[in-house]
Amino acid sequence: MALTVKELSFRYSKQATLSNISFTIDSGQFVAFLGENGAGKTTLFKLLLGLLKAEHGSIYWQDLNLQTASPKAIAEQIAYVPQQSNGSFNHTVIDLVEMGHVSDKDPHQTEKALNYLTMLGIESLALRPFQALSGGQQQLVRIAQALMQDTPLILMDEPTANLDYGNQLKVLDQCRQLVQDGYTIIMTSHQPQDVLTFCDQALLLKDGQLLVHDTVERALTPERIEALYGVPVELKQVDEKSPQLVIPKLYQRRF
Amino acid sequence: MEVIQRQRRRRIGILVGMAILLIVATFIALNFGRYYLSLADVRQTFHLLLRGKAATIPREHYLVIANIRLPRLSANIFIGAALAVSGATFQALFENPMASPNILGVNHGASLGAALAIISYASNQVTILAAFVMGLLAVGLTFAVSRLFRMERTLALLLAGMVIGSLFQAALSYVKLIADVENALPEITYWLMGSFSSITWQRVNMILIPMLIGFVIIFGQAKALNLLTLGEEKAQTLGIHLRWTQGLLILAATLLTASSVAVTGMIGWVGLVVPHICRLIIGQDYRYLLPCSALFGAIFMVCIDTVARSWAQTEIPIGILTALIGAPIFFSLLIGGKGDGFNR
Repeated sequence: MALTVKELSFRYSKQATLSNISFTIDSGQFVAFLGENGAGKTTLFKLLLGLLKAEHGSIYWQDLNLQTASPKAIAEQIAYVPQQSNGSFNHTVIDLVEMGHVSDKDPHQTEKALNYLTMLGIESLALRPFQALSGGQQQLVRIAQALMQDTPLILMDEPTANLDYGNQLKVLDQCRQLVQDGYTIIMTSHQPQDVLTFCDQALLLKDGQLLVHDTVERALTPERIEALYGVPVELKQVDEKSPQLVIPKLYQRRF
Repeated sequence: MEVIQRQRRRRIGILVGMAILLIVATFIALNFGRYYLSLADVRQTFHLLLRGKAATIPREHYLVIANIRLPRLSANIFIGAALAVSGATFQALFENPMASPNILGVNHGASLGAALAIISYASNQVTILAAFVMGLLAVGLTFAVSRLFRMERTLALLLAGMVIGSLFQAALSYVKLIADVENALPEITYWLMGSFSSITWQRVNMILIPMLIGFVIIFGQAKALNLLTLGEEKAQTLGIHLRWTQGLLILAATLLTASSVAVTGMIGWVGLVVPHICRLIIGQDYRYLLPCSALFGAIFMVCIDTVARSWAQTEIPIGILTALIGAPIFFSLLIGGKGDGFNR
């Protein structure tokens, strides 16, 4: 199973937002899209989800053409965890998670939803209204809703945005766990350190072009991080088993 | 698991309780009115009606109950339910708990249609038809104009609704200006205040089919409505065919509103307040919220119209009463911080 993108181009108005992008992502990987604001990450997500139609090129998940497939067919293959809140209606947690159930079969939705809540350690929140939860809990609920969709591929738009330090790490750890359980996860991120710590592969986007697609260790070199964000960094490793640590060179002002 | 199931059972219990309440309220309302009937008279008339022995009922009792109060109460029930359900539908469509059935200009269109019919001395039937058609036309125009805007679909619709609504309102003002001050103008003014006073079985029958179509479509899309409350993008990634579903639901909700407005004139607030109160009672899940809104809207309308027709010597236009009651209820809910539906 793989996600295959070939020669993909898209423009909103006259300026090209994405130009000539090609890559293949095998299943069972935790992949991050990195790039500064406006680099085209969100647009690429929307194209993968079939929310936008490409100007040129093709996107396939296995044999499914994501440019022409029905929303229902896509929803059975790809789940999406958006960044913002779940609208202005204050549903209960269990109701929200059950809404993720897209196929018409399987009557035991509530049990299944509860299982996912238990798996994420938030089953005690089942009857609480969504807006009464903390940011981290809300994010776990969105993930539970996505899991309820029963799809092999999950896209997450900056899953750690607006979370405190502990919750950022817990959410990413949970994602890693899901990848080990066989899911494929693609997320957008602004944190090279998170990507180096938790992900397998990284795609670097700059001005609508694909800079590089490789394993995180090979993709995220100090030069590329600087090219991407305009800040000089160095990478250090504590020991062989630890991830690379990103150290912004700006520390020199202080030390 | 048990706690969740208990909560689900509670929701069904609430719906059953409301259905019983509606039956009781309707029966009590049958006893009210300017022509005095004792409780025993009403019971006896009903008994005989149900057994098919209409001929043995005292003629006046039969006329009052079967030809005046029953059609009026049926209209109360249908229209109360229709306005509440279409309000709840528009609220999901626009991801906004404050949306009302008039958000796309259906009331303004219907008002203009009725006013035009009234100044051309058309029959009552033609007035109803004109209101209905112009209501649909206004929404159709809103839809068409919204396609010209390059922005998010719901925002485009909202703004187009304001544009079209204002145009129809201006046209209505002009019609009022040129209307005959002796007859047509008072009639238009009275029509705009809303009233059930001219309801007959014939009129109830006229709106029955569009209403049934509207109800069937909306109730069938309860799950889609739930997903739409999550936002357009999320709904689509959960398998909703956005344009098709939105179009269908707008059509259905417009059928409900247009047929209500056509026979009773403007009745505000029900579509906004009733679904909101129901959210507090039964929660946000549209599978329960829709029937709850329908039942509560019907109860609300039966009660208010009973007051409208029996409180004072002359009948009070119901639009005045729904606003008089609806606005303070809404106000108190917001003040009390019980806006559980929309904590933002």
